[in-house]
Order: sequence, then C-alpha cells, then structure tokens
Amino acid sequence: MPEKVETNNAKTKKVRFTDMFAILLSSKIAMVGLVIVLFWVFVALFAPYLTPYTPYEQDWKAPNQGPSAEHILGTDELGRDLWTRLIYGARVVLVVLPVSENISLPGGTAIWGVVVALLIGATLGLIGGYKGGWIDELVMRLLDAMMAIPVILLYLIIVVAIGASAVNVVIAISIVGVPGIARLVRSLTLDIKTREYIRAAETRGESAWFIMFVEILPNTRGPIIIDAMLRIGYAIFAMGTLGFLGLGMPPPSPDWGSMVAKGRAFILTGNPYAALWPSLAIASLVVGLNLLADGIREESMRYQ
Amino acid sequence: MEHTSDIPVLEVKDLAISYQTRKQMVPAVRGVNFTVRQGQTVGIVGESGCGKSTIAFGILDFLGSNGKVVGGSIKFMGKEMVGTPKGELRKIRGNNISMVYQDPMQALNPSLTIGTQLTEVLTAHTDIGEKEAWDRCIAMLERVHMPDAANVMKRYVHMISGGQQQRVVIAMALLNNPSLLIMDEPTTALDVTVEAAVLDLIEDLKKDFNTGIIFITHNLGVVAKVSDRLCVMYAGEMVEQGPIDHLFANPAHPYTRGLLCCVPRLGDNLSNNRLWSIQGRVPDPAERDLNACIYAPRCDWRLEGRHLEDKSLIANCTTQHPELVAISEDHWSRCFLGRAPLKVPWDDYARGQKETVIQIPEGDDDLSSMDTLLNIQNMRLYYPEQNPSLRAILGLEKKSYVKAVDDISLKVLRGTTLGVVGESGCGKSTMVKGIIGLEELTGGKVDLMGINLNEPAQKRDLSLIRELQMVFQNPDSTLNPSYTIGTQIARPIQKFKTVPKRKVRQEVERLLRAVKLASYYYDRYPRQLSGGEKQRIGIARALASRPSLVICDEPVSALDVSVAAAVLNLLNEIKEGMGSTMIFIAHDLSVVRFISDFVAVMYLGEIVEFGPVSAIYPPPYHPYSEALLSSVPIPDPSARRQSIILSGDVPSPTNRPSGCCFHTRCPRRSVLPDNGKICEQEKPKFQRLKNGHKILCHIPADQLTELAMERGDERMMLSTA
Ligand SMILES: Nc1ncnc2c1ncn2[C@@H]1O[C@H](COP(=O)(O)OP(=O)(O)O)[C@@H](O)[C@H]1O
Ligand code: SF4
Ligand code: SF4
Ligand SMILES: [Mg+2]
Repeated sequence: MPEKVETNNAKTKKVRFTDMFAILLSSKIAMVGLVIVLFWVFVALFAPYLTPYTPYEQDWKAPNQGPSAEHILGTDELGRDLWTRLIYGARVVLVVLPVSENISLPGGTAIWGVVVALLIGATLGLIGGYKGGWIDELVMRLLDAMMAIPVILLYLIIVVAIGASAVNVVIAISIVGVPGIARLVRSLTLDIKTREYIRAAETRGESAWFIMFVEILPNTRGPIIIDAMLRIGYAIFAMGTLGFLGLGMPPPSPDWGSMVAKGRAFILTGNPYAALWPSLAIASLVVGLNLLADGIREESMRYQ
Repeated sequence: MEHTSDIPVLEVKDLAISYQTRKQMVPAVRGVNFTVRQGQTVGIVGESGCGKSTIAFGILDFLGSNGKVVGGSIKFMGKEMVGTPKGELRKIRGNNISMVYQDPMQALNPSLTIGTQLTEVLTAHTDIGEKEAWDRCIAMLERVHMPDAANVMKRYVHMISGGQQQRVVIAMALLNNPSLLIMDEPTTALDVTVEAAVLDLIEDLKKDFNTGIIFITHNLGVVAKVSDRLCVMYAGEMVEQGPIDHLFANPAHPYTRGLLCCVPRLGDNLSNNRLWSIQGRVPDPAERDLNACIYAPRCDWRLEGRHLEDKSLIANCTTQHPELVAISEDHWSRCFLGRAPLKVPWDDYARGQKETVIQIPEGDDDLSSMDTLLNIQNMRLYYPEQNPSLRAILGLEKKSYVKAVDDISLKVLRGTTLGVVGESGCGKSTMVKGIIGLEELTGGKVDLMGINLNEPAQKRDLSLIRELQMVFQNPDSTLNPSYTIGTQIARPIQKFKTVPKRKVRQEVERLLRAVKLASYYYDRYPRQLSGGEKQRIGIARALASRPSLVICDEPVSALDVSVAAAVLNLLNEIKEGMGSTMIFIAHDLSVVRFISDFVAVMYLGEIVEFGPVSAIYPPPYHPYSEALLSSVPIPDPSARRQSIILSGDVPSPTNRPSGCCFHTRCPRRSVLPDNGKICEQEKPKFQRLKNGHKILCHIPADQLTELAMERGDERMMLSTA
C-alpha cells in the first residue's frame, strides 16, 4: 500500500538557519557572548566612521590624558586618541589583514590564523583518521612533537625566527592551532568513518579524497565551529601577548598588546587608561567568544 | 514477602506525563491505566515513539529535568508516589524497584570486575559483609543460569558475551529482592537464540521470586511468551489492555490488529508476497490531535470501512476522543467500534501472490541447469588478530586469525533472493564485505557472471562496481546527514552516468517513486525523515546504479514491525518489478522465509544448511537451524513452544572447534554413537538432498526428520503448503 506521509513541505534549507537562531535565542549565555562579539565586529567594520581621528594622528598638546569630550577614552603618551587606536586595533584582529603596505586582505589576523590552522589541521586529522595505520602514526607523532613545546614559547620562537608582521603572526597562530584541530578532526573522523554512508561511498568506488572531504568533513562542522570560536579567542589572547612582548604588529600600527605594553609605564603616574582599555578589549572579546561557544554547545546538546 | 497479596505492587491510574521543549509543554503520555500484581508480568507493546520508556521513567521518577508527571496517580505498594517529595519518594522506592535496560553496557561499568559491581549492590545499603555478599552474588548468578558463575565474578564486562551481560544485569536487578522489576526492551539487542534463553529465565524468575514485572518491548512475539497481561500503547495512549490470551484471541483495537498482522509468520503460505503494513507513522507528541482518536489518520477501519456494517460508529473518530470501553470483563479498548471488530477475523486480508515461484527442475540437485549470477567458491576471509604483546610485535608469536568466513561455497541464481541467517558474529556481514570488495579475500574465488571479483572495490572497474550495490542496516547512519536526499541519490547516477546530465533530477524522482516516496523528499535532509523513510532512501540509492545484485545487510532489523513490513513489501515489489537479484541478510528466520527463494544458514563462518525455502522450513533440519527455528518468538500465547536452548556461547572464530564447528553446543549429537564422538573428530560432509538442499551433519537426513517430528513441530509441517 502506498505510504502517504503527511509532513510539511516547506521544510528545506531554511530550517537549518532558523534552528541555529533558535539555539542562540534560547541560550542567555550565548546571547551575551554574541552581543559582545557583534559589538567588536561592528566597531571594527565601521571604525573610520566612528571617529574623527586616524590612529596615527598625534596631538602634541594633549598627551596622556584621561577621558574628555574630544577624546572619549583619553589619549596615549604621544597624544593619539585611544578610542581610535582601540577600534582600529579591533580591525586588525577581526576584519583586515595588512599583508604589506598597500595590500590588505579582508578578515582579521586572528581569523586568518585560525582559518589557516583549520585548513591544515583538518586535512591532517582527516588523513590520519581515515587512512589509519602508519600514516596515522606518523601524523600523530608529528603533532605530539608540536604539542610538547609550550605555546607561548612556540609563538616566541616562530616570531623571533621570522620577524614581526601581521602575516607572521598569522603563521604563528596557525602553527600553534594545527595540533589541536587535527586531533579534534581525527577523533571525529574515527567515529564518522564507521558510519554506513561511508561504506556506501566505498562500495560506490569513491576516491579517498572524496570520502574525506565530501563525505566526512561536512559532518565535523558542528564541533569545529565551536572549537574555532574558542580558538579565535586564544588567538586574540596570543596576539595580545606577542604585542605586549614587542613581537606583534610593527609600530606604529594600533596593536592592543603593544598598547598595553606602552601604557603600562604610565599606570603609576596617574594615567591607567592607555593600558586599561586595550586590556579590557582583549578580555571582553575572549570572554565573549567563550560564552558564545559554550552557550551554543550546551544548548545544542540539551534537546537531542 | 511480607506483603499481603491483595495489595497490587503497582497501580497506575490516568497517568499523564509531559515534556518541556523549547517551544511548549508536549504531552508524551496520557490516559494510562494498569495494575501489576505480585508474580505477574505486564507487557507493554507499541511502536517506538509511543511512550513506553516514558512510562518506565515516570514510575522510577527518572524523567530528567524537562519531564514531569502532570496528572493521574502511581501507587506503589499502596502508597501514592505522585506529588510525594523526592527524598521521601526515594525511601518508599528504596531498593524495591529495579530496572533492566536494552543495552546491558548502560548498566555495567567497563572498568570494574563484575564481582565488584554486583557485591556493591549488597554492601552499599546493608551491613552484609564482603564475603557473604560475594557468595550471595555467585548464588544469584547461578540462579540466572550463568555458566561458571564463580569465574565470571572475576572478569570484566567486555570478557563476556552480550547475552551473559544481560544475565548479569538481571542478576544485579534481582539482588536486593525488588517487588517490582521494570524491563525495557531487555532482549532487543540479543540474538534469537540468546533471547529465547533470557525469556525462559524471566519466566522462571517470575515463579521463584514472586516479583511484579513490567516488560516493555515492540515485539509481539516476545510479549506473548512472557506476559500475563498486555497493554498496547499508541502515541502516548493506552489503546487496549487485557489478559494476554484473551487479547491475542480477540484483538479489538484496530491498532492492535494492525500490529498483529504486520509480523511475517512461519506458517504463512510461501507464495505470499505482501505483508500487512500500517500506513503512515506515529505522530510526534506536538502533532497529536488531543480531541480526536489519535489513531484516526492511520486507522484502516475508519478509512476503508473494512467489514463494518454500522458506519455510524466511525462518525466521531476525528472529532471526539474515545474513552476506554469494556470488550469483556477485564479487557478494554479505546475505540468507538467497541466489540464490532471481533466479528471479523483479524488475519483475513489479501496477502498477494508471487508472480514467479522458482522452479527447480527435477533431479537438478546441484542447481547446475539454473542461471547463476554470483558464484562463490571456497571463500575465506580472515582478519589478523590484534595481539598487543611485545612478543607478537617482534614477530615471535605465531600470528592468529579471526576466521570470520571459512570455506564458503554458494551460488546465487539470477532473479532470486538468497536469504542468509545466523547469530551475530557468524560472519554474514564479512561474507558480503568480501563480495562487494570492502575486505580483501584471504582465499577462494568469487565471480559475477564470469567476471572475477577478487579485487577490492578501489581497484575494480567502475562498470563492475555499479553491478553490486548494498543496503545497510542502521537507518540512522545509512545517509550522510549533511546532504539532501536528492543529492545523495543523484551521486551514484552521476558517477555511473546511468542517465544524461539533464535527466538526473527526473531519474532521482523516478527512484523516489519506486520506493514510494513523494518527489518533495528531494530537498529534505535525513534528520527530517523517519527510520523507515531513511531505509527506503537507502534502497533507492542502491538501485540508482541499476545493479544486477543488491545486497541487503539486515535492512529491517532496526525497524519497528509495521515499518519493517512496508520495507519488506517494497523489496518484494522491486524484486518482481525489476527482476533484481538479492542477497538478504537477517537474523530472523521468519523474515527470511517471507522474502527469500533460497536460504543459507551460517554458523561460525561456515554454511551449515542451504536450500530453497520450501525445503529449509520443514524437516529435516540441521540441528543448528532447528534451534534457530524453535527460538523464533511467535505472537501467539497458546503456542508457548519449548525453544531448544543452546548451551554456552558461540565459540571464538579464532579457535574454531575441531570436527563439526557446532559440536560444542549441538543438542542432537547425543543420538550418534559415543555421544557424537565423531563430531569432534571428523568434519561432516554435505548431505545432498532434493532440489539443491544440503545439510552439513553426520546424522542422516532421515533421522533428522524423525527427531524433528518427535518434538511435535506441527507448525513446521504446515509451512510446506
Ligand atoms: N574489522 C574486523 N577486524 C577483526 N575482526 C572482525 C572485523 N569485523 C568483524 N570481525 C569479526 O568477524 C566475525 C564475523 O563478524 P560479522 O561478519 O560482522 O558477523 P555478522 O554480520 O554475522 O554479525 C566476528 O567474530 C567479528 O568479531
Ligand atoms: S476510534 Fe475510530 S479512528 Fe480510532 S481506532 Fe477506532 S475506528 Fe479507528
Ligand atoms: S555433525 Fe554432530 S555436532 Fe555437527 S551438527 Fe551434526 S550432530 Fe551436531
Ligand atoms: Mg552484521
């Protein structure tokens, strides 16, 4: 007998987005995180319209000032507007990657770092997990070796070795991120490759590349998205650290870490603002991303 | 037992349970009434999603953070439990209610020995000493018929088989002498042979312990074997309840009748090619219309009228919610028809006729005159055993092998279906993996229409790959969750270029129609589909390359009876419509009987019996086939046949027994001289009987027939009809 199953037809791709949104809306934690993150994305995107100054403009008459009507967050030791430097700093982190003086790529340094780490890490994880055997062994030992070095030390070695620039920061962030992502993807792959749809692909004579990138990879996206958010948080943190140590963006670019480092000297002389704002910026963005990731993870687990 | 027997162990009245979801409160269960008395087993049946487990969790107060009892009463030993504060509840319940789950691993801790886990149950709440607790646990294991109980206590969970794990869980549940034992699908994950043993055990326990048991299952055959009373659940409501004999003899609710009809039976006529199937599916809790009969959208009595004389009875089905009405004293049904369906026998519907019944020419006992599609000769497939010891890594120890398939020879004839049965782990899946090229053969030869299949799939030619396709077991993992149905069916069409590019969508829609799904499924994602629908898509995907051989590895084992029936009908239709050849793997002999033309019974990597269906189901049987057949649970309480319980476990395929591989468990070898000494020493040869039927046993076929007849297996005789 024909099975007539009545279900609503309109359910198509849209469901995924509304679902995603419903998850966000129903988790307060995720919403708080999202608001913080969106705030920074917004100011970074529209930085030129949100301030009358440029980040390099020096006001000789007003160095090291607290918040005022002209400079809402105050100025630094060279009289540059802190709000401007802060939001242009966010630009470097989140929306533009300055490759050289006249070339910039869309997508911030932290984002690029994580994306590159994702590409390499996911590929390694997929190959190790799907192929198994000695290939897996090799990949895993390589990653173990990378993980054995303390993260900050690794950053230092990399940046010292190849110099301080936005691109080099991206490289540093990616190299540090690869082992974690590769391990995550590998463990997901080990699980997914036992599924029957993978057997179906194999009986269809699909190539290993097809199976890894078309059949397996898309199914790892949930955990990967959450992991990537957390990782962008770490990357921002690491960029701050590098900048603080003088290994971030070359001066005079508005780099949060180096802003803190410069401003540090003036905390005791009565102007804590130059150090305070960038510290708060780093902290809020990292916390925001963490809240967002945690909120989504918890909420998506809850109604399964 | 200190309680007087007139207080029921459990009394459930008008129970209603709801779950809080993101959007609203949805009622998962309502209108449930039943009573469990001491020493009584109450069965609860229904398709999945009908709220059976929710009732169990409601009684145990394990509903989780978003579930809540919203109405009715649950009285345990006369004390009301609904509304009682948690702390007090725990005291009332105390150690008096135990639960056994489907998956024994859920209840057992893999990192502790079985002894530790069992004794802890006793020592945690009482002041029994370690030594005494240990002894009592051994005694309990013996009571659940655990072989070698003292030794099992020292082992870890992974060192015993699934059936034994379930025994441990049952022993654990019984240790503190509960008044109520709730079993949620306790045998669903087990093989029929093991299931038969566990069901036997439950029957015994009921007598010995005088415990009240709630037995939840979706399998009517299983409840028929153990229950005294039966509650039929549909979409969260109890739709029928009564004493088991009465209910099976006079099923009154259309849903109960539907469930009963879905099951393929060993007694059915062999030329039947259709099963009854209930259309549609169980509605989600949020979609249920609370002011109508919930079954109305699927009810054949309302939709087709069936044999109804008085049509006014069904006038209110969609506007009013039916209450339970008495069918006879103690038998209730939630249907406006009341007693009306009883006038009509429940199994009188057309079951279709096979168009082509395979005819084997007289005297052709090797099937040599038949058109062979797939020929397997002496196939062997060994897995090297992982041996983690240092000596093995250094190559000092002899490598051992899991002999998953050992010397199989088979023929699959064009246009026929070969059914393969056997307990799990006997090598059925490995055999098809060898054929399809997912594993490399260790030895032997396989050819498809003369083309050699010994190469693994990656090395095969595309034109060969497309000839062999597979349908998988698990509906939840057979489809890639990231892609739409359309994309997934289109992939093989594009890959094998079965139609020109611009016709792909048309072809996908044709395949969807072939599996009885509407074309709007094209844009759906797998998670929007039910289990049966996913399985159909799996079939459509396998058919997409227009293969000459479709291999189905337990395609209906994970489905509810009603859904399984529809999928089986579909496979039969495809077979007749397209003339496909199939290998159909199952562990259920009644399903295999329904779908196959030939049957191969496998044990421990070997084929022990092979033949056309008409020869397999009546005697003579191979002793192993006989045991399998006798364990099939049949939905008829009056036929509580004694199953042949096989002792012990399937031996490890690494150390196969010498001689006949079945000799460690064979119940029949005692008829041979010297208690079947020859079985241990000498490998039997196939006895070739009529029509290609062959049996691998030392006992002569005539004697096997006699033995089966002695057991009084009349039903089996019927099946030749
Ligand atoms: N990849 C594998 N490696 C080692 N042993 C395996 C593997 N797959 C299956 N086996 C073993 O082979 C035997 C047959 O398994 P299988 O073909 O899955 O049986 P069935 O399908 O009848 O349940 C079992 O003992 C099983 O443990
Ligand atoms: S009440 Fe009506 S719709 Fe419901 S089961 Fe009875 S006949 Fe069918
Ligand atoms: S050969 Fe012996 S052990 Fe094997 S099935 Fe026959 S009687 Fe049983
Ligand atoms: Mg299997």
